[in-house]
Amino acid sequence: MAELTISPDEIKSAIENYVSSFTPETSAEEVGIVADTGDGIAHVEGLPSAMTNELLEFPGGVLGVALNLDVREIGAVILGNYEEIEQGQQVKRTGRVLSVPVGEAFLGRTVNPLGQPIDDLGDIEAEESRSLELQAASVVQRQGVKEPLQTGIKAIDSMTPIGRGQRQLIIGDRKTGKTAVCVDTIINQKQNWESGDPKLQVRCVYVAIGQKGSTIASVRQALDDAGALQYTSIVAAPASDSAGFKWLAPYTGSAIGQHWMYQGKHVLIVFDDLTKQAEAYRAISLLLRRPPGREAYPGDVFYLHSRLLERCAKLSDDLGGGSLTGLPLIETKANDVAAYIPTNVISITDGQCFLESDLFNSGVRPAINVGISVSRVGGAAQIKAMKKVAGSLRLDLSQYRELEAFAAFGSDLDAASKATLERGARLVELLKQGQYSPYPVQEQVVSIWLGTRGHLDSVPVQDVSRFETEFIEYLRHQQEGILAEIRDTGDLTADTEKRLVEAVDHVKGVFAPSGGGTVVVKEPAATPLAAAEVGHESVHVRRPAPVKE
Amino acid sequence: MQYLRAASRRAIAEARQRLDRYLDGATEADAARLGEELFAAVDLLSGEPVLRRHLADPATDGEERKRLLNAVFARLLSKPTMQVLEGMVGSRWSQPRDLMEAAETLGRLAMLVVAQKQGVIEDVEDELFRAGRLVDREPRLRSLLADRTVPAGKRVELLRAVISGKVHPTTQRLLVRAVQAPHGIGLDRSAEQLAALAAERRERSVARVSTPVALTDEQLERLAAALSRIYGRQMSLQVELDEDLIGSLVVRVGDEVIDGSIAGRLAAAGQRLPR
Repeated sequence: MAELTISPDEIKSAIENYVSSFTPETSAEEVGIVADTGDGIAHVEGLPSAMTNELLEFPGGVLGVALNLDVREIGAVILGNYEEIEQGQQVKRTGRVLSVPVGEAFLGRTVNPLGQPIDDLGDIEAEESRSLELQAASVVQRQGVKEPLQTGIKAIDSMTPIGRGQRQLIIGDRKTGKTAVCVDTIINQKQNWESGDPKLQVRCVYVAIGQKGSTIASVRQALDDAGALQYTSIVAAPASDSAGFKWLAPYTGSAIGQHWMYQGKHVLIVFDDLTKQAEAYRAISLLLRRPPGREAYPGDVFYLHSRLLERCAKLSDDLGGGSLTGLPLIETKANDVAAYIPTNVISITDGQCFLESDLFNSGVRPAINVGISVSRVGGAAQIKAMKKVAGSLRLDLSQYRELEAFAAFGSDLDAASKATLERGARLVELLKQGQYSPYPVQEQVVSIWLGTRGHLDSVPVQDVSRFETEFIEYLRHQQEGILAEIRDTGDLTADTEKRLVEAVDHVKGVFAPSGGGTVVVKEPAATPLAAAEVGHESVHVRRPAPVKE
Repeated sequence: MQYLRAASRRAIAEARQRLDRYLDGATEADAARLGEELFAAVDLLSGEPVLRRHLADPATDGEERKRLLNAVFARLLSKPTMQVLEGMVGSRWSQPRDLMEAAETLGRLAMLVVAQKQGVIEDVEDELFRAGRLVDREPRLRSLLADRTVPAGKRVELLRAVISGKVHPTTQRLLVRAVQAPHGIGLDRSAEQLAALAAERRERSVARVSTPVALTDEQLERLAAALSRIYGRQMSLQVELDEDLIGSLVVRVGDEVIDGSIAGRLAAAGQRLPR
């Protein structure tokens, strides 16, 4: 037989003939067969044209996501009830890569991670279908964060302010009030919503991942009671959902929010919480036999969170100037912020609010540890008035924390330390706030002004809260001009400050402290020293003349 | 083929032995038919993961599995093929997929035996190897042949356009089969594996004899006849001189070694001496 020598030209012409003669048939429907299944994962044989992250349809209408495309089979995560799936069943491609319906009609509704409503209020009319794995905005498409997102919580807005387009991590142990901070932030947007101004309005998305069903219901109820549900969408993947849903829920919420962001609107998204999403993703990866890394998480768990949080941005004016502000929540164990997932997310976000269980248990709520909480946007996200009054707040509190250990020896300290302690205690008391009671920004300014300018120094610590309430009530009813001015101009002029001082004096005059007595400060008039008692010391330094060379 | 675990390795070794025994006494036509029927069985099994699983289920009785096999295949396949398959189904397999891939390998071996009986196995081996190198050199061709979204028939046409008329029918059949049923392996690697199988097949008929002194023609004939009797097939001899053996012979057939040399016996005795 002749030797097998085939020239490259022959091969080239054969390939050209083949490619030109072949037209792909699009009508043929590919069908795969389930080779094995279990624990929410199914391996499907066949379906050679399946795409990554494509939705596959299993019998019974159950959907799955094709994650592992191996040479001979596809590893798919089942989104939904996997008990009905059996070996040998047929699987069809849907041709759709993972995507959800989005639109204005999602406000006020509760949906599952596939965008299907679960609140029994009927179908939702979608404007379009948005892919879950779209790239975040590029560098050129963004601008700096400069508008404030008011959370209504004094401690946060004064010391770790959040801007529109920022990612701020709320991190802490369980039961330290993380969800409460986020719910209060959502409730605080009510005034903005009612103003009707699209530049002020903030639409909210609350993504509940792995939460108890009762918790999600109570959050929904709280939002409804406060009238905040009308501008909030809830994406719910409760603890009873399969791991696939918990993994996808944050991306669904992000897709819903991004749809509004690219229309030039402002959106706030809360991820409650990302630890459970990471755990669900770990379960899926281990079942799909992907190699485990540190703490058995897959190697791309950082990418899981980074591509989610990078979607939060402030867009440039060319693209409408919309923003998506992200508040991810992470639950630590025993306050350990150096664990794997917490360190990952801390390095991704633009700052964190660290809620400590010790503070929470000792009554400081919100239990924010001012020392290690930070906002990398900082003052750019604060109105001028707030910047003026909150400037020294962090410093005073940190000095207080340093001296706190000596508070037990109150009588043995020098006057300056005692003053620091007194001031600090009152500031801590001032920053305590109840749940579901966000403060509008002008009231926050006034409240912090009270503390940092020393007007509370004469008020007993246990009465600080009551005094503050009475003062703000007084301002609301008798001196609304002051509050309105701060709100409208965003600034605190010297004139306004003078009027505030007068108001303080007035309120102090009528305030009755719990221990009796009065809070009005009566200092004795200062008498000048007699001329003879005035001494004058001076010091001379004798320095030898420089030696001349 | 993929990495095989112990149970599957054993099962496939036994299956190959049984196949060899049958094929040694079979005609060309028998071997060709056996190969084609095994390919057809594999094609059916590749679309039926549930059936595969049941046929390779170690929890059930071997007889039960054979009954299932007969129920599915008996009216479609000839008796020799059914015997081969029954033998395989009766063994224990690590994975259901290994059973199917073993059947594929046996089918390809049967085709190679056809070439051997025609006396052209050396050429076939050479052509398979060159085809593998060719596909390796041409990435576009390789990727077009491996694109599973295109129906197999079209890809086979492309292959035929490239190699038709330039190779033996057996080579062509095997390469076409490798494109139709790749089992997760690209054509370049498949062709390499086929070439290795062919070489192995060829080696089975070759005995390498090492002798310290040259043998006469009569001695060589006697040796060849004896070996053919032992192995049950026609053996050809390759002789080399090796004076270190001192006396007698060493015969190598494939992986087997018959060491009758004096040097070998001395070494063995030396090992048994007390230290």
